[in-house]
Amino acid sequence: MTVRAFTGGAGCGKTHMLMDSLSAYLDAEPLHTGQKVLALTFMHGSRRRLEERLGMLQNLRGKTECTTIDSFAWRLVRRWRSLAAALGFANIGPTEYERVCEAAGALAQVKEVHNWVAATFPILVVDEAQDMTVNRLSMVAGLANKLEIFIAADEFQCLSEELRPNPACAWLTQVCAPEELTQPRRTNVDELLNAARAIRAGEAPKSAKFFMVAQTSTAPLAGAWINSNLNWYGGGKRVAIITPTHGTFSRAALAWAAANKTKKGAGPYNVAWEQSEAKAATEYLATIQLADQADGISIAAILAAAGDARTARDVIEWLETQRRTRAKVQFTRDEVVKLVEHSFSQRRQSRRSDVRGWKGMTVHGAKNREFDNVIVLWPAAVGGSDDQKRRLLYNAVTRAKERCIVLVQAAAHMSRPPFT
Amino acid sequence: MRIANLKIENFRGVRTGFVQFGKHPVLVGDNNTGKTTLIEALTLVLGRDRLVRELTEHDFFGSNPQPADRIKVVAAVTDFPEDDPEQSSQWFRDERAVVKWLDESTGQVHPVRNNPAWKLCCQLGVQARFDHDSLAVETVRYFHDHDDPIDPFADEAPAPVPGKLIQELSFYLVRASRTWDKVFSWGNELFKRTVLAAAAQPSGALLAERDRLRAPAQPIDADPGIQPLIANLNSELARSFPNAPKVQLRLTGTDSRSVMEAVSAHFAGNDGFSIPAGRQGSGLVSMQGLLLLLELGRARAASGGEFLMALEEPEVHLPPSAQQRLVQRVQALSTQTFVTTHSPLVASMADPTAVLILKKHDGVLSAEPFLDTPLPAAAPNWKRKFFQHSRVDVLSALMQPALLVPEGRADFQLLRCILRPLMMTEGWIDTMPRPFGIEVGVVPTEDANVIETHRLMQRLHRRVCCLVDGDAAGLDYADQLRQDAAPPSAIIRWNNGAMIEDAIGWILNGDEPTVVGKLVEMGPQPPASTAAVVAYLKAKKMDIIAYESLAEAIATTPGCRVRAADLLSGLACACAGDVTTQRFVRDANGVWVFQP
Repeated sequence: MTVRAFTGGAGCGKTHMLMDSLSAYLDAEPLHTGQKVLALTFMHGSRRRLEERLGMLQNLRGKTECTTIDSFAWRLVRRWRSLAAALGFANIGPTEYERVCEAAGALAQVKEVHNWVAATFPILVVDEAQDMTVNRLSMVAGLANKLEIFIAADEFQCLSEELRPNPACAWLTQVCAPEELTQPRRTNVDELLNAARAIRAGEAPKSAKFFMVAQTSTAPLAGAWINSNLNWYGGGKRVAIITPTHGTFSRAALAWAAANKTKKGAGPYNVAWEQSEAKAATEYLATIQLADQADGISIAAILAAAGDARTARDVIEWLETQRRTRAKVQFTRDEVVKLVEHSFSQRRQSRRSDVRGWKGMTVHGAKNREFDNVIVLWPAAVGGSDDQKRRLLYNAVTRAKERCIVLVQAAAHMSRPPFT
Repeated sequence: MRIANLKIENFRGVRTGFVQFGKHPVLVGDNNTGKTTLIEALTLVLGRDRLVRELTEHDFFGSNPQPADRIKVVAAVTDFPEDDPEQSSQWFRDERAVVKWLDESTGQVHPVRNNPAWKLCCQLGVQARFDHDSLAVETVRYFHDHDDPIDPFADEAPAPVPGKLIQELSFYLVRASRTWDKVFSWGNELFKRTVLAAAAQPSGALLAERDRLRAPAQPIDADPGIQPLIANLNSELARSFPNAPKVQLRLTGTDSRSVMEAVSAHFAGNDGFSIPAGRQGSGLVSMQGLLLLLELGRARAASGGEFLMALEEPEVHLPPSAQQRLVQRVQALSTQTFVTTHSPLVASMADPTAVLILKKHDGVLSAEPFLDTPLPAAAPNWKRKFFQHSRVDVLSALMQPALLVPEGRADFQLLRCILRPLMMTEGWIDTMPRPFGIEVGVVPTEDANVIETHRLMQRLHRRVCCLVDGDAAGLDYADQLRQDAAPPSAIIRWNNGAMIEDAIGWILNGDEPTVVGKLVEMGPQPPASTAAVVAYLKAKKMDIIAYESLAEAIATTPGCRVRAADLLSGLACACAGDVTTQRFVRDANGVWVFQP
């Protein structure tokens, strides 16, 4: 089977090329009845975006299944449980992500398994392949024995320091000649293009009008910059406030922006922060008092009072099922905690990818998305190697289509990578 | 495709059960050994929804299901082309079954093919639970991936089996309780499917009939009898409504559906009279249904499709003359058949290795093939006779609660001959605490192979008893049986030095003068005494004509009849291990000895 790979910087149209070549392939080799294209991504946000892109392909007519690599891995392990056990992977739970992927990697090498996947999914599309760990790559490589693979990757956009050198990019050069895309398409703003190129090349990005680096030592100062930027350029635009780590600096800056006006009267602006679901679950759990062991009715009452209707409904539904199908009426705190976490992670899967308006997020959360206007908050606490910092800044800056401003907390950082 | 085995848990009378099937199994067994349960379990897994009866609490073992109780049935499907999952990708792919390998010698399913003889298979499962809130049974049919305890209701939902695959298997069940009225009609599902499968829809004729009914040559409403009435109606109508339509009377709803539903089969005899099917005898009516099934099978076979059929008790639907032919036709046209029967005759038509003897003890259902493997050319003659020539008798004995292996064929014949006329005698059965004919089946032991026959039967029946003579050879048999690794449930012997003919003598002594007088025809000289009769019987073994006149004489002589009943009921008690009779008493070794 053939692997077709596209590499290149952010915004060079890797996804676009992925779609083009997939479409050309489908013209020559249409799907049979019951067959679908399998598309794997890392995060649920990119899953939805890829789903939308695939949905636009005329010759596919919606015959796609987009899922995250981890949930597909679990699907393999769940169905092929007895074979997985024979391969030495017994008793794996759905939340042991690394073991699930390791087992799925081993399963995908087995002829019956990759043929089984290929019978429904003759084609596999993988976006952001640089983020694949060895185990996840092993699953994709196993499937590549039988499936046609369309894959996009950019080594520089990999933010995990454990994946260097990058296993997926190394594998791609072994199995095919990846097509390198060099023409940026996301924006034609030269300042943004030059800044991105410089950061990637380890040079100093040039601060000017559409790409600007400003030093803001205090949170109120950063907040004022945010408000005046939003005031001037945020109207009717998609704006992202992006930071490598959402810590004291970014929180304080946003808090100031939400409570104050600048001297020129900009603000106050309340920008909602996109929270990771795990964090949201933890915060939710902190608000409720669960006994070590309790009966379903009192747990339901606690959750109903806690205010989050959707989580309350999910958990109460499960408690009901347990009572009806197992006559189980006593539950431990651990069971309820697990359910609440599950309920929050399910929410992430179904949340719509709304990109309208203004949002705050981490660099990781911004991956694979685009905004008209990006405000980067660069706190003093950014860690990691120079290379890692360049990657973080690159990933943040390349989200912008029209303009980008970087607010640097520490004056000393101005003369260090990634700014020099 | 073929169902290789079926695992049942908590379904009806079966707490747990495992049965392996060949291509055309014939399932026999006593009442309440689980024949119907097995067929219904197959239907749960393989049947189209309308074939599956709605389950109730009584479908759960013990009839009182608790929330965590599940009915669980798992079937292994095998015989896929070349054992290659890629050639059957409609079965083996994402959202369908996972690949597994079946070891047919054990029925076990493995995730990896470690032996080239193992066959590709997939497992289909059904689970059901009773919901105490809605008081209804919830059922799911799914691909059974592994044996780990995962609950499809409380844990993650398993991959459901799509209706399309169920249709592809084309499992059809003819229930024993089925009524066959209106078979050749579009109101009948089987008929519709058959017509569809054979691509035989008579659309031209149906449309022509519809048009004729819409514009009849001689309209009913125009008949001079009814015409004035219709005319009045029409004029009244015209006064109430402007542009009122006119009343017409037509047969049927005059669309093709009503025409199809109005069709009714007739049978034209040689005398030229055509009589509707509903007025025919039930034999012919049920025959129609089976013929239709054959047609469906033929159409499926012609298109290379599957046709799996379960036929419950064909003897209920068919006259004996048609049984063999039809069962064989059904088998020839089907991919796999499951026939259940109470009739040793139907069972004996099948290859003895295909006959499965069902057993159920303490809720555990199992099945043993009547014959393990085909008899080799070197098989001894007695064995060949036993499994082939005598198999109707052996099968019929196997269906009784206890099975008696006598020392020789003469015992079998005498017991049977005496029993038969006795059973006709009114009120006879009431005189016995244990009715022998209902509780005990006797097999025709060949060449005094009581020990070997006992071993053969032990695999097939839980309660095998042996009956030996009171002579030296008999005592020796009794000793050997006693020391067998798996001794019989009961060892019974005639009193010292005696054999069955002596026991007959004891019966005759119940009214010696009368009964001996009825036996003038026996032998060249009329016997003068019981002793003479016994001597004659011992000298001329297997004189069936003599046995029959003897039986007749006993049945018509009350004194003897009482003794015969006493003896047979005592024998039945001994077989059941019941000490209420004094006619057979256990000796120091536990052997039941006849007490004349």
